[in-house]
Amino acid sequence: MNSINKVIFIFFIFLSISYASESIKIGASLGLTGKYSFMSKMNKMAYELWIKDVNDRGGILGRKVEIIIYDDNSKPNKAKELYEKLILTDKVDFVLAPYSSGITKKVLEVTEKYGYPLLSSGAAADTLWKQGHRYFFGVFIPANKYTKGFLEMVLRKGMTKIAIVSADDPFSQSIASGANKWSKRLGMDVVLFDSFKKGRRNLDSLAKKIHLSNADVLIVGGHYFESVDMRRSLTNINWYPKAYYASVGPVTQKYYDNLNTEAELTFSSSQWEPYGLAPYPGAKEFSNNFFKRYQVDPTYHASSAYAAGQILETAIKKAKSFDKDKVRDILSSLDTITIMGRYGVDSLGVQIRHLSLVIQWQNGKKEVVGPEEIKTVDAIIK
Amino acid sequence: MSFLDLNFFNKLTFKIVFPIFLTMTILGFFLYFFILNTVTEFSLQSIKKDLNVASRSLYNVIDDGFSKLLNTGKSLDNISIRIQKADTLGEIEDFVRNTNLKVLLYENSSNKLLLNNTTYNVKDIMNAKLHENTVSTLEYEEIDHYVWYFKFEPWLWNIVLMKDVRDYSGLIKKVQIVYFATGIVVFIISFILIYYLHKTIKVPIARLIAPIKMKTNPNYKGVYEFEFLSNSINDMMNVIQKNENVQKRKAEELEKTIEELKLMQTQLIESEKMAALGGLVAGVAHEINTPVGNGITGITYLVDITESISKKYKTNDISEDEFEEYLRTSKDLSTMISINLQKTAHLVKSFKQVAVDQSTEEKRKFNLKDYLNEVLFSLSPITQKTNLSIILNCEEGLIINSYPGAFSQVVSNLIINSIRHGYKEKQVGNILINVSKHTNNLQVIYKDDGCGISKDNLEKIFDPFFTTNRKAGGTGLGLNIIQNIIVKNLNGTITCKSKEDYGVEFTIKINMIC
Repeated sequence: MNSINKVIFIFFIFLSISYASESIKIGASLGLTGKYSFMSKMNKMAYELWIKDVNDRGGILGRKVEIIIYDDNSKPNKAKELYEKLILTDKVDFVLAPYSSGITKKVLEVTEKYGYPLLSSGAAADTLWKQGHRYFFGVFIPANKYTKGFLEMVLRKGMTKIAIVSADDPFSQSIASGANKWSKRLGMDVVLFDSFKKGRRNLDSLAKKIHLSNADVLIVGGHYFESVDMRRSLTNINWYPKAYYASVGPVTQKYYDNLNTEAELTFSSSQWEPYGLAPYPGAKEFSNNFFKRYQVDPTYHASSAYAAGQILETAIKKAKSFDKDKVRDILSSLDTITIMGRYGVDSLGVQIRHLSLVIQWQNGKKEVVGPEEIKTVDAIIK
Repeated sequence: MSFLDLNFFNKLTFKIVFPIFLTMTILGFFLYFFILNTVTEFSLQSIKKDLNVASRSLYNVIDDGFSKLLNTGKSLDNISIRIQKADTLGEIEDFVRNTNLKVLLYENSSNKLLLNNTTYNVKDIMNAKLHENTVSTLEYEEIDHYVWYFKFEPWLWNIVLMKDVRDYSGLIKKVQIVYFATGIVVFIISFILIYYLHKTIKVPIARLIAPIKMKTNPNYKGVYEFEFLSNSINDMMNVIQKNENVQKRKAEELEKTIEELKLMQTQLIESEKMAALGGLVAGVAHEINTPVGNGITGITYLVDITESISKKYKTNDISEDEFEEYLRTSKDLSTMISINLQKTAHLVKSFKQVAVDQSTEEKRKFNLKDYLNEVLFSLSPITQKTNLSIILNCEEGLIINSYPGAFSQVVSNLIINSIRHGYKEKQVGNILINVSKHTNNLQVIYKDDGCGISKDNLEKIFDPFFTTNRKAGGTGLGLNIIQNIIVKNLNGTITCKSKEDYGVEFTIKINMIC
């Protein structure tokens, strides 16, 4: 090796060291305080666990990954400002999603403007995919399909009279309109379809109205508080339908901890369940690592956040580039499996390959009761 | 001069650029519509093809659902069938959302709508009478749609797929944007071109034109061609300047010559007048000579015979017969002398009047017929030598207030002209002078039946110095004088009609109010 070659060799070594030492910056804001704090904290823990796991694997394309997470107080406008800060001031390379459909909708104004791909790990309202966003991709199924599996199950159990109520936020309304649509497609009777203001805590009068509708099945579209409040109102009016379903809330341990035996027999849709109940590669390890690190079981909010990280990692590796447009193109056609299950979106970015689970609290445990093929136990109808 | 001048359309730059710009614009428009048509046709065909492909795919989706039931042995299980149908409907919903299609799906037996993202109902579709498995056109929300209608018999499903014909509007929009952008570029280039031409052509030309307008020599320095032009114009202007000086000098000389000629013409006219008068005097003198000679002869003879008779009377040597002879002879002589003297007196009187009128040119009232007869009489020394018969037709007692001398000169000159130029010596002919008065207009028609005037000469007869008889001493001023007298002195007009060998006809019109 002559002297010139030596100089070139040393130069490239130096270049590769300096390149490798420059880490990839990823940013996100979450409602660590405020009404979405529980789900947001799940997201945060999962994001951080993914960062650790990625860096343990040597980073992405040889570069370490670091994450900046801000607290948006569960407020959409603040979240929007924080994403602008992440992109313009912190100059992050990529962003991960906030929690809730309402906040995501606001944040999309920024990410679309600056061309940052956003994997929706905390939002499922159908309206989000009706605005022609180019850089927005679903990680799990949209809200309108949440209740489909549950409705098929109750149909098999011979129940056909359905009451559907929801809070008036976009996500909850997507749940309700989806339930209404699928009920009709399955030839069931929707005996009540109503909504209430988001944040209303006492739902007794609505519960009475549901009772009077002679419904066999009650579906509540909402988040954590709506599921708990409706369950309490059912107790208050001393009536319980043959099947009670609520979105989001019942998938959390907190639901049971809060309601105790009242939580029994409640149905919900889960995009994922820990410890191998959702049979996807790495899911069990993720559950164990998560518990080991945070001493709490992960919900699907955590798994979807972790999965979003996995999908982004795969896309960057496939693109062999940190160019956001190249990564975006990969995400629009990617078919991969994460701890959440299969990822694949349609031309609008709507998740179409992911499978939702029907869960029910039975004897203090969350059991998978649907789909038929992967259920752990049979559903119990009152 | 500003770039954007009011007379912009007349400017050189505009005239150069505008045809190019116009041609480009017309070509652009033709090309635009050609491409637009091609793109539209291509897009419509693509939409039809897409619709066909979509319908096949959708049929397979439904068929997969149905097959799943068959393959799992659940084709008779009502719940499974409902769930599978719901799943299939969900798949169709996802499919049409991703392919941007509209769908209306209903059951054959009940006409129950199972899926619909249009505002149509089943009745609307049935009324549309769509053909199965082919492309139809349907207006939906005031927009044309291509429609593909097919059935899935096992489930008695009727599926209507609709696609907006405007789906190619994005492509059309792109074409339009490209065209619009090109148009702007062409427009900008045109302006740059105009500005460039303005700088390179218009400005140098303006710098050439400005001094020329000020009648000074241009002194342009810059573009070679314009510099060459400037120098050439400079040279030309110098030559023109020189020529102008020469021309000016020549014009002055010419003016002087014309003045001299005019003076000569006046003198000639006066000479001609005097010559005419002289001719008249000579004629009159000749005419007087005979009667005066006769008178002298007669009186001499009378003196002789009177002396002879006197001597014989003194000597008483006179017979009665001789005295009677003397008385008879002296009576005859006296009569003869008297006649000759009267004739002389008449001639002198006529000449005196005509000559005085011609020289004094004073306006007065006079009897036109009598006066013209006097004129004719005064010309008799000339006219008697010809075989021409002169007839005057004029109203008796026609009194006019005018210049008799002018009339005398006009008629005299016309008659003399006829005699000199119209007839050969001793040729028999007629001259007719018709005078008539209509209210305030006096018309004199003078005709002869002489040799007439050729067509070429007819145009020139009133020109001064035009004569066909210069060798015989003609001055060519006769008719010019007549015209001047009529136009200037009598405020009238004179025209002439003539044909070779058919005489001439002069028409003189005089306004008598003036």
